Amino acid sequence: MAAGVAAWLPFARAAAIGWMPVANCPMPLAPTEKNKRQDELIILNVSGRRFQTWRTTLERYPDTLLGSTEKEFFFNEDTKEYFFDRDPEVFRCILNFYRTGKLHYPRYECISAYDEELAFYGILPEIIGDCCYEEYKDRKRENAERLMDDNDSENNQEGSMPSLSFRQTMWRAFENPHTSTLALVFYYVTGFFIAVSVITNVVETVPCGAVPGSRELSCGERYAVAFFCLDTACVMIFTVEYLLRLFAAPSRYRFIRSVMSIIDVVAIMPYYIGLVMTNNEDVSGAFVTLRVFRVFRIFKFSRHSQGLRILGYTLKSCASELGFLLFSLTMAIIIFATVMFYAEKGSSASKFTSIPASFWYTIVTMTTLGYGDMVPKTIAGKIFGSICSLSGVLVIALPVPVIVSNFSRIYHQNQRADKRRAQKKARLARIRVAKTGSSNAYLHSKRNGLLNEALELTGSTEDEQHVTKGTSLIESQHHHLLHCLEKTTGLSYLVDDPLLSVRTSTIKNHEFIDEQLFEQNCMESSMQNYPSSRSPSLSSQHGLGSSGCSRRSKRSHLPNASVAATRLRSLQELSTIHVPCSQQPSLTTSRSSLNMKSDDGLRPNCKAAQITTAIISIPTPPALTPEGESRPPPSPSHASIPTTTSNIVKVSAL
Amino acid sequence: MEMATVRHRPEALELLEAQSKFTKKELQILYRGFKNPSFLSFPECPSGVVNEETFKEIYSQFFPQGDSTNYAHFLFNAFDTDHNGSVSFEDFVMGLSILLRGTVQEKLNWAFNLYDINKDGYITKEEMLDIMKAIYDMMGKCTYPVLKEDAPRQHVETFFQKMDKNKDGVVTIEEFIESCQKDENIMRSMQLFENVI
Repeated sequence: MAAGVAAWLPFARAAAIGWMPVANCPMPLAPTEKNKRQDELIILNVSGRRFQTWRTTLERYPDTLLGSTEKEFFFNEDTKEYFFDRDPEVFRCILNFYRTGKLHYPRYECISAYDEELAFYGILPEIIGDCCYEEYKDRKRENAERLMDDNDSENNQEGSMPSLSFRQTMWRAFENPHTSTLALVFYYVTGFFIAVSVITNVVETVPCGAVPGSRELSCGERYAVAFFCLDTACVMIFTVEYLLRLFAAPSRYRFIRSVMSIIDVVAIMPYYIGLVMTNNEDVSGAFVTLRVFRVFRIFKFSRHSQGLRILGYTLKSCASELGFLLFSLTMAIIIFATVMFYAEKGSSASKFTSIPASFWYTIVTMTTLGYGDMVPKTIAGKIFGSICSLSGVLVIALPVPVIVSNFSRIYHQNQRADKRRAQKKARLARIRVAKTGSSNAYLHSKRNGLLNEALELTGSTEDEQHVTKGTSLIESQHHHLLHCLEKTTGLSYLVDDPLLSVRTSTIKNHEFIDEQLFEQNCMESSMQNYPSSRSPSLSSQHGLGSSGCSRRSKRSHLPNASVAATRLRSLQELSTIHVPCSQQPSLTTSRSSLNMKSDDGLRPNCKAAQITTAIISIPTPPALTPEGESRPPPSPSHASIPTTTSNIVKVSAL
Repeated sequence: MEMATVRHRPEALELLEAQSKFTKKELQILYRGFKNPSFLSFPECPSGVVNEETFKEIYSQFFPQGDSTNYAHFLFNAFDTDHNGSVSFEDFVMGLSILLRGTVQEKLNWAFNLYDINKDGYITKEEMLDIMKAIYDMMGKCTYPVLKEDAPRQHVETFFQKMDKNKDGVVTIEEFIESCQKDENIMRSMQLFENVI
């Protein structure tokens, strides 16, 4: 709960009066302030600089140094102030945290010094406010990287690396060529062969001297064997590389689907297909087409170049701008082509034979190329042609800077977006933890609070150390407020936490069962005497109304008795019984215990006025009953005879 | 939009002390909490008054598991007695004065005012149902037993059975006060928060 909000707790509690007339059950007692001191100013002397604040301000966070009794260690009797021999600059931020509930990280502060101070004062860095959290995390990460670099260079000099599996080493070598010399060699070799392959593809087509007596041959046809050997060598290298990558990939399926591996496959497939295919005239045309795909080998360079990857990514993310460009161009082309066609229709020997034919003119003009192979001859055509070229400049020139600036923006944004994504997850996790933490805290304290009451009832003072101390007054008041809400609605909070279900002896689970549900259940199931102590008496009802929420926390059967169980044998709690006086004589209880003794029990009563209750939660299975323990007597209950209007009967058991 | 630049200063301490039932010290404590700087960071919250958004935010901090916006809305309307969209320190103090230091009659009056959404002097079943749903919403989803769809409605029925004497489908202030005074649970729980400050 934020500090500032704690100041509003009295208001929320006062407003809880609005629930009172509506509630069906009586409200729990409010926590009393045992020692209500007047709020006083305390002086904190940090290396000579004096800070003053209210005591209650510091007590907002009882699990920090300043909020707990730990600060008494620093109390100076002579000057009546708390003296800390620490940095006063950072202390300013820390004190502001108590005041406003937000912890800020000043930029000029060194990250390790700040961390040290936070650790000293017992404040977790995770609660740094969102305004400063990014900065803090960045600095922390840089620091960590710096430390890791130092460590790594140390390690490398020593030569001790953590042992990875062979596969993992290979994958690391592939992904990051700087990890080892072998990887670097591999990197350069593949790069070289890609270059060789691309160059051979290019040179293949160059006309290279004519064999006398026939037409000019391209180099590829002249030195066919040599080129074939080169091609084979390259493809073999690429195949081996692909297979090695496939073997080393941590997730083969994902690897196969990735872009780079598809490029690899496309680069080497034509060769194999060419091997398989015969030199048939029909298929050679298709075969020639396939050779085109060899040019894709150039894309393999993107593994070697970071910039290419970013460019590719940018184009992908700029898709909308590119799409817009394309769309507007298409629109303009169609418009102008139509216009030019009809304008030139009249002139003789016009090249504008159809609208699609005019497309070529329009594109060439709009991109300001102006080849001149198609030129308008009529006056109208020339006018529209000039309009076309002017608008072309606009249509093309406008989106291009947008794309360029997009590239730069995306480049930076890419880096920041990843950072933010990671932080968002962490932030949500923190919020979730805080929420469940507060409800956990509530359930814990509920348990402890009832234990306290019970202990007070029996006069036992022994188990007090089980009760967590240090629940601040504000927390107990907050919990009381939540408890009142539970009582008003007749429901109770559930928290999914396996830890809650396993505690030693001090668990006392109680469930509030909705009045209506309960009546229903009582009418449905016959009221049985609760037989064995293991089964919860109302297990049948528990089966109903199941929810998606895990109820493990409420349903723990304690397997082992613990010593303290003996002390709890006479524990009983206040329970509330609803007795619908008017009609059914069925009995409802609002608490159920887990391990009940066999003769305790909710006895069904036929008379409305008589109520019995014995809710005893004793977490011992009968087998382990210590011998001195006697069965708690069935409790007669003092039922306050309900008034005619009220259906609620409060029963105090023995 | 002018609200953002207006700084609202509360009435003088003596005046508030005379009007409400708090002592000067208590008013000081209240004001320190009210004017807490952590809420001044709210861009729409001009200093010196609290608006509905802040109310909802406060309540969501206290009831993290559920959805307290509706109840906070009703509560805000109950505090904002002059219906100008914001709760000033005076409204705050007067409201708390009734809740914490008022007579049982005054408290019941306040509760009636809370339930009577349109402030026409009658609580209808629909109004009560809205309030009830808002209260149940605050519990959230993870409860035991699971909140049934008609639990609020049932609760409203119970309430009306208890309160509506002449069975005319609405509860008037007299019926309300009379019924509450007969119920000793309610009477007792009214005293619960005496020593909150």
